[in-house]
Amino acid sequence: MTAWLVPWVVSMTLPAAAGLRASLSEACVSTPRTHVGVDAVTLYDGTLWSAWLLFQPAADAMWTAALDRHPCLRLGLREHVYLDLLWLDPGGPESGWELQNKLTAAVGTELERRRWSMGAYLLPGFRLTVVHQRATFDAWDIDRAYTAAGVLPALYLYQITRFSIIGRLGVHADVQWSPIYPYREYGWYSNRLIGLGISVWPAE
Amino acid sequence: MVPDWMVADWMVARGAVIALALGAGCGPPEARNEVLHRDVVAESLDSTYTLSIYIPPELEGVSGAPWLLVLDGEYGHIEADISDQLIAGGQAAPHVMIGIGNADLRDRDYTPTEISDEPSGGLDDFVGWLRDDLIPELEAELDIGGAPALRGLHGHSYGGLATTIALLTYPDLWSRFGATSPSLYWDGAMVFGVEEAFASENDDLPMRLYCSMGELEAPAMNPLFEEFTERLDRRGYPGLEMKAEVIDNHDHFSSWEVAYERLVPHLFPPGEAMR
Repeated sequence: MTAWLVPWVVSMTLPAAAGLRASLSEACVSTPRTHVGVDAVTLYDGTLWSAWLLFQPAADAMWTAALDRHPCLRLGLREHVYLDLLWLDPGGPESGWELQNKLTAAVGTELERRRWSMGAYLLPGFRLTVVHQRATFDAWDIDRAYTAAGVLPALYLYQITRFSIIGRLGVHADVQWSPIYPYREYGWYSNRLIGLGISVWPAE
Repeated sequence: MVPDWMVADWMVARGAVIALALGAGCGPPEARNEVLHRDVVAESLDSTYTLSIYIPPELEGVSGAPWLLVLDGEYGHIEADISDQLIAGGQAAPHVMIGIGNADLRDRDYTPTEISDEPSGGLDDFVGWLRDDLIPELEAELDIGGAPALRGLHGHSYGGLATTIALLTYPDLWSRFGATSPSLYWDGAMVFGVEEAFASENDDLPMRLYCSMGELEAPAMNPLFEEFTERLDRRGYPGLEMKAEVIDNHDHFSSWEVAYERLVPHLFPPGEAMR
């Protein structure tokens, strides 16, 4: 489990290292910032269990702004939607999907250079989980569906690194890990750990 | 087919749960007595298992106490703590908790049929060893149980599947069963065939049965759970005291501890006379 923390710790360390070349306040993003991202690649548990688990769609929108007196401290909101299609074979005897909707506050910092930025945040909030399941076993005359939803507390350590490609269009890699994951969120599908995707920064 | 990694990670998950729960102080209060650990060798299975044994203060020196065998229980601290808390609080009758497990062998031991590319299908052998060797030895050594009415079996996930199969194929070995988040999908949901075969030959299923499923589990888990418990209920077995429930806001892993808290009072109801 400690290994899961490594990307986050590294991401916290790198900005600090970058800050050696400039004062921290100069490196910090101090303007309001909005990020919209679409992730094409997600990893479950950081382990390559099955190739199909790599490709689960996710999208997020995040808005943060710095405090006037503390430009390196940013506050905001993040909305994250994650759809897990669960099985390769939706027509098989077992199928389903799980939708995670995570609405969290964002508290953290973000540093920026000309073509890239790196942010590290703590994200406390809630997640809405919707699951849909279906079991079809003809041999036992079973064809039954099930849908349920639940609201659970959520807390994540979140890091995002964005690279600008053209103007306000870029790519990003992000990592999120929940310190309360084992106790309240030990689902197989609830924790998109790593995301790779496209970012857009709307004009402020 | 559900990938085996789902449940193969179960013991790792449990370890994390236990470590975090104890470390964060957010688990149940620590049991009043010490949990004893030791390894047992099953020669017939060429395997070694770790036992976690908890005897509450109420049963020290008591002969023939009821006891619960908990699968995946090699790290049975949390089960011991919960059982102890429920006993001390008068919510469950005193009972001995014995966890047994070997995470590397659970896929083999807890599944009733062999399927390709997975170590599987060893449940009959495993239960046979329990029946012929482990249970007699433990009951003689610890002076517990001695009759099916005094024995319980609990398992979660694959362990829940094993418990479900066991209650239909070895109903005379135990009389209290806790099958939580059972993997009823196994091998084309073959457990439904076992249930039909049992029903065709028996008019009763006399036992206390607790079964549960997390509300937010994986595909097929909840539909099959609903179907199975409804079918059992429709049989109208006069001796079956079944409590079946969905645990709100919990998934396959997080429901485990809550399920244990709920199954113990059902399997060992408070006020139950001790022999």
